[in-house]
Amino acid sequence: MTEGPGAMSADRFAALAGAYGAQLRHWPQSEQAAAAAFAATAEGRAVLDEAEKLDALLDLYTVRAPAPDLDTRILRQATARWKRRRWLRLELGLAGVGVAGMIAGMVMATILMPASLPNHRGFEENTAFSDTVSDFDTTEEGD
Amino acid sequence: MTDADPDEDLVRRVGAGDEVAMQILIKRKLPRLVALAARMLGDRTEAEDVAQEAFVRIWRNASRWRPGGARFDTWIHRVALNLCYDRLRRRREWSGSDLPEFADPGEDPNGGRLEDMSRGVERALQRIAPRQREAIVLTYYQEMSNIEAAAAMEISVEALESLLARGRRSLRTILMRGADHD
Repeated sequence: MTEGPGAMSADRFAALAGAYGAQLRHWPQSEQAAAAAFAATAEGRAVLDEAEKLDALLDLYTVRAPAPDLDTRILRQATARWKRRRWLRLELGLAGVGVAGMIAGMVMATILMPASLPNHRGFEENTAFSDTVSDFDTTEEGD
Repeated sequence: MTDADPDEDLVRRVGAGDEVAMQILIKRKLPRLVALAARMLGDRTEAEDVAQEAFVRIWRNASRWRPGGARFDTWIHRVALNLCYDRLRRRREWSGSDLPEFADPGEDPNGGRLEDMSRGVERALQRIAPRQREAIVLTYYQEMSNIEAAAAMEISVEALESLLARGRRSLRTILMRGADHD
């Protein structure tokens, strides 16, 4: 039974029935048309009848619907998560406004203040905490 | 897998915090995830826990979801399956035994009663190798296409078919023998 292009061999038909069972809708879509043609033969029907015996047993195994309140619990979980996320965004937004204000203030100070601090480096060198270079340069000290 | 993802718009809305979209997504996916986990674990309570944990992953990742890769349904199946395997591993550590690679046709799972058949199939599924069970659950019960199931399992379609064939053979051995005894 391999005549014609697209025809299905008996071996392939049996292999598919052995894997997917007797219902052709479970079979690979690309092979369903050829399988349907083979299923119309006596050999094809016999193979499907055999596969159907196991399908009939598998169909007996049903799973009850989920507990009635499970969907409510899951939805509550989701909405709580979203509320937390929105709150966090709001907090971050407010913090962002604060940081932006601080940066704007610093920029303004940089623009307006240079004239009032002519000896910036000298100010650092004359603090009570000694030389600023040795305060920050730790690489030599560690060795 | 060039078809549009049917969940894409919904996931985008969930990512934007749309509560109605969350409700729709829960309604659409919760029964599927519970069924998947129940069949993988053979335990309904654990299955609901897995589904709940899977939704936490959804809420966490929805805003970062980008179409173009795996379908959302495939991705969430992978997430739920990973959670199932975590639990199966914990069970193995607890019991000190390895997960079975092949069917163990030791006892009759059917018990000879029609009303026990559902539980019999459940027990039979638990007795085959987890990867075989996963392949059968995805293609047969979750009705995923072979391409989607292979993507969820991160294997080739050929490997999927091999697992399916071996899994069904194992189940047949367990279940048919039980049926013959009735």
